Amino acid sequence: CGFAMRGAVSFPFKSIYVGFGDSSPLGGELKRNIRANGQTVITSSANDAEVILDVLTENREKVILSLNSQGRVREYNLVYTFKFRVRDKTGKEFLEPTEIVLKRNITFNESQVLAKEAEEAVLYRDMQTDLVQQILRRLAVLNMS
Amino acid sequence: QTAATEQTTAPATPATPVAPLAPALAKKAKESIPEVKLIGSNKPVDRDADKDAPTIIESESMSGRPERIANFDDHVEIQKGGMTIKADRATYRNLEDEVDASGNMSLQRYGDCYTGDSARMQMDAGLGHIENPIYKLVKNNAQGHANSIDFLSREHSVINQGTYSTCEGLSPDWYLKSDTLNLDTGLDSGVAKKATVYFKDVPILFAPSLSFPLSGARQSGLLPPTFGASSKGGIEFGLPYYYNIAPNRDLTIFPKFIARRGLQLGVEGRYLGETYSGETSVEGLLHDQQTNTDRWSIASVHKQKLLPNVDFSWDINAASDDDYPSDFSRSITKTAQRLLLREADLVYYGSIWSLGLRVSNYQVLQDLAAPITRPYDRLPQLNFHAEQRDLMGFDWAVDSSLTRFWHPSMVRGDRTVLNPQLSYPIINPGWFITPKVSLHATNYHLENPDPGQPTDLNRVLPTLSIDSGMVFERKANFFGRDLTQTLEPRLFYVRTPYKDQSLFPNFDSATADFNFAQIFSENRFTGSDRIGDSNQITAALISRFIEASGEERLRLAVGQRFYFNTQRVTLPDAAASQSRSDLLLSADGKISKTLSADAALQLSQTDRQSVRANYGLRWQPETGKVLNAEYRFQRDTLEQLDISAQWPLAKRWYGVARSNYSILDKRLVEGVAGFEYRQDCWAFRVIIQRFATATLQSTSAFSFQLELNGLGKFGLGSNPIDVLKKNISGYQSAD
Amino acid sequence: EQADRYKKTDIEAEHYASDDRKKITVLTGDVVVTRGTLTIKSAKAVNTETAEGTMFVVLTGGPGGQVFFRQKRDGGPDLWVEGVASRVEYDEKTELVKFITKAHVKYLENKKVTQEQEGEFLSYDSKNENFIGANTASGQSVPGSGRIKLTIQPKLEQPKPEEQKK
Repeated sequence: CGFAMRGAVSFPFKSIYVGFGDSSPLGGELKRNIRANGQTVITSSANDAEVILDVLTENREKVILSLNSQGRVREYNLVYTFKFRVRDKTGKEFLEPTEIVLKRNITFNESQVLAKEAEEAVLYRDMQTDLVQQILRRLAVLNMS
Repeated sequence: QTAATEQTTAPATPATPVAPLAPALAKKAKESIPEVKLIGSNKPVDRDADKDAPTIIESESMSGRPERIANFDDHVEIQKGGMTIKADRATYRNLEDEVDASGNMSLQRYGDCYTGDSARMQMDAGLGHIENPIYKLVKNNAQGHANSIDFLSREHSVINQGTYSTCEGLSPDWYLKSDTLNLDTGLDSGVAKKATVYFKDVPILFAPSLSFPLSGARQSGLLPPTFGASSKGGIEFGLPYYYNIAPNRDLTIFPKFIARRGLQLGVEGRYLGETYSGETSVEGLLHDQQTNTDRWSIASVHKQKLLPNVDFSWDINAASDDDYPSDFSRSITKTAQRLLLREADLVYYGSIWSLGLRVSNYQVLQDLAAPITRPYDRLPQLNFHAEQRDLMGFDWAVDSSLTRFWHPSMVRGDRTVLNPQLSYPIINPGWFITPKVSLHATNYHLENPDPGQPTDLNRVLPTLSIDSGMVFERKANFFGRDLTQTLEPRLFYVRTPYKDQSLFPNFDSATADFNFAQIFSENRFTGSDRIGDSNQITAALISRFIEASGEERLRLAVGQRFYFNTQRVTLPDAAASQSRSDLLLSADGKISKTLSADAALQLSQTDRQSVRANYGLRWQPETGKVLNAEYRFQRDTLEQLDISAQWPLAKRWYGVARSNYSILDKRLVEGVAGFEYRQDCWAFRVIIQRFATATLQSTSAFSFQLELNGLGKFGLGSNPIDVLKKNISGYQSAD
Repeated sequence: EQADRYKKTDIEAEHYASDDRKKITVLTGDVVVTRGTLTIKSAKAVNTETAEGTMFVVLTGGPGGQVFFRQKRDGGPDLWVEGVASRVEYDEKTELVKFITKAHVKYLENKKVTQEQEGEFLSYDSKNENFIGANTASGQSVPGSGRIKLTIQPKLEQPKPEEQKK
């Protein structure tokens, strides 16, 4: 039915600068995945990179999703919003500002608050991996014209 | 027999301090914010470049003495830099570089235009005076008329005995009449003295001094007063004052008089620096007449980079008593919070490792109708994490933590965890296999175990896991668009031996929600107190539909876990042992440009009933029109239908509504109804809100808000826009 | 400059034809009128002697050419006025110069233009140090028949020494 194994994913650029703080987990995982395919170099400064990824917003928010009849929170929505754009050092935009919003809902109970803290971290890491894949997919189809 | 004690409160909050610093702070909360310095200060408009521009005067006739004076007649037009004056007659005095123009005079200055009888302008410094002008400013296209206008500098002008409004036309719907109105585009502020605000020619507010931002930036000064009423506290009147200490520091003081309680004082300070930022708000009510106690609450967040790789932060919340949030709270998010976190963190980031010290405890706001068990305190917790990727093909990581758990009544003790992991990921574009081994070593030293129970416990459990998957792709055409459809089968095997942990204390473990994140993790429990014995394989199939731009349009997924052992490590809330896990089905994405849906179903294999289900639909044909419907089901805990909408009812009228109805308890858990009337220069919002605050008790809150564009928001009750944004997902307010 | 009043006006040219009865002399070819610091150059000049014996000169620039006028002004070491126009009329008695059609008069200080006037008719009275501008050649402004323009350069404060070094 027309399915074939995915071929090598190559980026249409040789070097990239990724504008994350050095202790940002999302930045770390994105850099690892870019490096993984071997032909792309991650530069440490913006002006010797062919392509620059600007982080516009990276926001984690916890929103009440549902309450039980006693007004207690029973579900939260963890929202991970990431907005970025891709340009070269002269400012020419390869990818105009794009926003990716991921959501995971997590049940909640006051008596398990410590465990839910740990579970939240797991869900944010899961969204982070998903976010990295979506960013990579967009980088792979950048039109460099 | 449900004696639902109706508690109608119209919790009053200060109308939002104008353009709160929050967005800047929220932005700063993230790591890399290069333009911190710019926050708050707007780029100076290059008006002083005009000083060296020549003055060009055209007319139909002129006469005068060179280098001294020149008179111009008929169609005079004087132009210098960003300023142009047109009049019937004008005189120019060289020495003072001054122009006097009269006879249907019109002046254009940096985009603002003024017409009047006459004007005298000192061209060089841009100072001047206009006699009974009508003006129209480019900022917020404000307009009005006045006895006179004085230009004190290029950026600072004073409108004397004039009106100011951002509405078009000669008879604006609302206008501000003031003795003097100082407009300073440099400081981006307008300060009106002896000001009266008229709405439809009815005076609605008088203030000795009222300040407002010209373009939404922050502005020190009295904020519009707030009114409110609540069934317990009676009438409330607050007069907030906003003090803009510096571009990156501000303070809001909101004294509030509550009829049946007394005078409450609230202070909220925010600060934002190069390496630190924070927000602290404290509220206090000395001797609450209702309860004869002092009522107070504090909420403080602080983040700081002590050194380039050392982060320090705290998040402290506390309240004087259990009922504080429902008595004084303004929004559902506050009343629903029964646990107030108090935590401080110190984290050191090495190159491949990080070490964190954390102290945390929760204040429980007890609700005797449904008591809450007090969580453990962690005084302190030391976390160590190190990892390295692709070391000769291997990835290794070590997670370790040393925690002293304290609890007034339950068992206390120290727990040491050491969890080294080693994996060898073989990753190719089309397939991957990642074998991984890890060891989970835990040691407990308990202080007050139950009699006969050991004080020291150990557990060392190895875990083997093999994660594997393939990615198939094909070009497909769905919904009339060329998409790439992927098919991603995945298999995840986990083997962990059994060890009896029934004697082990449970400080921070619980059964994790069964979802697509958990289905691919090795332990079915969160926290470190329970390591689930497992000999299981998880199979899943994910299919994504990806647009040409790389955007994931739709994602379908199905997954299930097959157990080859009976799970003997349990927790009170854990499901009984079973051979096949619940079936997980999920689908979410955009069906069309305006319709998006998401569905997640967790189907139990034993009784074919759904354990958990969420079905959501959103239809957003255009901005300002959105319809959401969501059904949420959790077996034995909740079953709710949540419908919310924002819809234009008629020209300029917008209706908003939300009803979150609990089918299980046959009760409205949360409801919002309201409407908005929007004109181009003002908007009026009325919101009625009702939310459950405790067993059989609900609060209804009424708030209205009159927003005069460019001047401020006046109203009663919590800011409707925030309420709507939280309640109706996809809600877009006018601005 | 006031001192010019006591100077003699003389006119040079390539050709010279005079009609003593009507006291009119017509000079053509590289005409130069000088009187102290005043200089006027044109292609042709018609000089009429008035009853009081003073000269009234009408200079025209010839085909496309402009008449050039230059005179020093009182009130400063290096103050000059320069003007061009298709036709210039100079009355020795009233010391009034009239620039007619496409007139452009500049006031200079230390070789820098401080003021410029353009228009259909400009006049400069060096005796009383005043000027007039009108939008028709007749010297009378007629509403709606064209604009005249005055450009004033900003005062050049002496840049403070340290600023120059920056």
